[in-house]
Amino acid sequence: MASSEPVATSCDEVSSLPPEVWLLIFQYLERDYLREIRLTCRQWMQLVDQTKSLRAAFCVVFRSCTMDRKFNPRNLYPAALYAEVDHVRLVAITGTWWSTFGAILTRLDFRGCRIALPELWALLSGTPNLEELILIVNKYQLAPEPTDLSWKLEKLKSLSCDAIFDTLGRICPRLEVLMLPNYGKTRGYAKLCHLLDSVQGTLKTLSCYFTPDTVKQIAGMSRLKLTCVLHRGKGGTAVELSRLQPSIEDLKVSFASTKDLCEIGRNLPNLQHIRITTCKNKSLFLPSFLANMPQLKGLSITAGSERSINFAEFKAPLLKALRLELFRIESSGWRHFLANCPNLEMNDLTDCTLASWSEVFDPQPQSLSYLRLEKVCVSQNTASTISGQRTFNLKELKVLCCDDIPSAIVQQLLPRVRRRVSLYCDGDLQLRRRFFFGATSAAEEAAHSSVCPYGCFSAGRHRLPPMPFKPY
Amino acid sequence: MSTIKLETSDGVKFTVKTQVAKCSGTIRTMLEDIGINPQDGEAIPLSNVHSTILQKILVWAEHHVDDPEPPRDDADAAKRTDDICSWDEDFLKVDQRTLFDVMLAANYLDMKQLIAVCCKTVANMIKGKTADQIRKTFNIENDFPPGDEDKIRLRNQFCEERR
Repeated sequence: MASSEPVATSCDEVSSLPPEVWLLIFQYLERDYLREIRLTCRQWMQLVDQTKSLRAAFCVVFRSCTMDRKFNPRNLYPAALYAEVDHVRLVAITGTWWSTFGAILTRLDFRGCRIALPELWALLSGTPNLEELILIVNKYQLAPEPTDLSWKLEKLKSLSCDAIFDTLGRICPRLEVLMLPNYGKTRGYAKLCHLLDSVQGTLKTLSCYFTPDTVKQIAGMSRLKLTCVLHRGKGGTAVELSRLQPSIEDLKVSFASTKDLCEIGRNLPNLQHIRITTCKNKSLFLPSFLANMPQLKGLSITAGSERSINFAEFKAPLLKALRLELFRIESSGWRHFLANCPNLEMNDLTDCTLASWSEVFDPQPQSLSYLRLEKVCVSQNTASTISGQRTFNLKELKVLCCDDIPSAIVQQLLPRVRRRVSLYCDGDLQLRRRFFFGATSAAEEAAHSSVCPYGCFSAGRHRLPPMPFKPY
Repeated sequence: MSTIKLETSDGVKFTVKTQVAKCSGTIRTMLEDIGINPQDGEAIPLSNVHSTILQKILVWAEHHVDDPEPPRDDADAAKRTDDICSWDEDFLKVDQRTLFDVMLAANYLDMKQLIAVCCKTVANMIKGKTADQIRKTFNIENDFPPGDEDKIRLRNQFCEERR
């Protein structure tokens, strides 16, 4: 049987990959390519439209139009999960188009729109699968809020808005994330507290301006257990909040003094990530609060105006991500601090001054895989060297606007990077040439020298995404 | 160095270093979890893999046996297809039939790194092509009723990049 079997010609069986393998391939394609995939054949169209991660590439955008009785968009992408409504006048939602289109949406984003409120509620009543709702810088045509609502957005997890309506609290029974970016101190806290009160059983993440009155109200919400807080307001409210919500693991806080931060550390035994913006103060910054935050995995400190930081004897042994902005970093504490961060994976220095370029690279622990330097400069221009046999395990090195970085240090650094590293630097030709001088041949340099629209490029072909400051 | 025997669909037996064979998640599971004892001299049957393809896959596994574990959550690098190393690029310069057979076998054998590099190779064959060119490349029939393709294309006009 086998002996007489004809050898299959290549054409017969070429498209014989099963759908699950095609799906694996499609995961590597971006939106424009997926668009062609959808047009290739029915099976592929279904594959794209039925796979969440693929169809999420297509977002339907309504821009600068009027949604009224005459509005009836045709040929909408039928499997859209995301929709953006941008500078649209929402007058009336009629017709059947929304009932089929809105029914599968998971994310809906209104920005810069003029909205007749009753129509907003009518529209949202047709989006039972919504998980994320954004209502930012819209103008609302106010109307009495409805008292009899027979529907709820049971799946809504995240709400970002800058105006609060009582109805919002009633339609999202399972809200986990509430972001109020522009809801400032001048707005009434009563509406905010009313909303918080109605979602306190499920809310985990809250970003808003905390007035003393807001904090007082929160004290009475026994079911509220926040894990992530992006705090705006006076330092004292942050301290008070940390006393009331010991469950906080991730905190962003502005204008808190080191004394406040020490107390916050004492109040939050589970704190893993903290982002701090310091007061505008010229004095030396001593991160003494670190002694009270032994669990810390992520630390980001931005100075209100340039000031010195000395880590002195303070340690953060579990730290994985470190970001410093607008600091003059004093050598002695810096070396000691990094020597005691055996798990550090990411380091981002922005607008920082160190003693020398060796100070930037030398003390970094072996565990470091992402290093991002933006506008970093040095105070002494002494000869820079990287010590002896030192190697690096970097995956990504990003250098932006560091004009003074000397060739010598670049040439020493690159051969010591142990693995394939994605290298970015900005559009300055001189700097790019300096970076590639030691690493690649002139021909390779020429091949890589095309500048991508964002003005950065890498040692491979250029790619764009900014380095994420995990875990935020 | 310990070795094990593998038997392909066409009855060919291969003697392979255990470490190399363990590049396959499927074989690893057979050895570790199910407890097949390779010392028995009995060959592990790979009923979905032809000898010509297994031979090729073993060349790949031999070359990559010392590779470090890939990082798990590299969401950032997920869509890259331009990072195929030159050895793999040469390795996969084969006709489409062989490439697909390698993929199917890699999928069956659960070899994540090999699957990834094959997927990237095929993705690169797709990139920049129109639907019509894609159909020609992979010999796919256009099964949309005449005129429908235009309708589907129009639908995409409302699609834009996510902010």
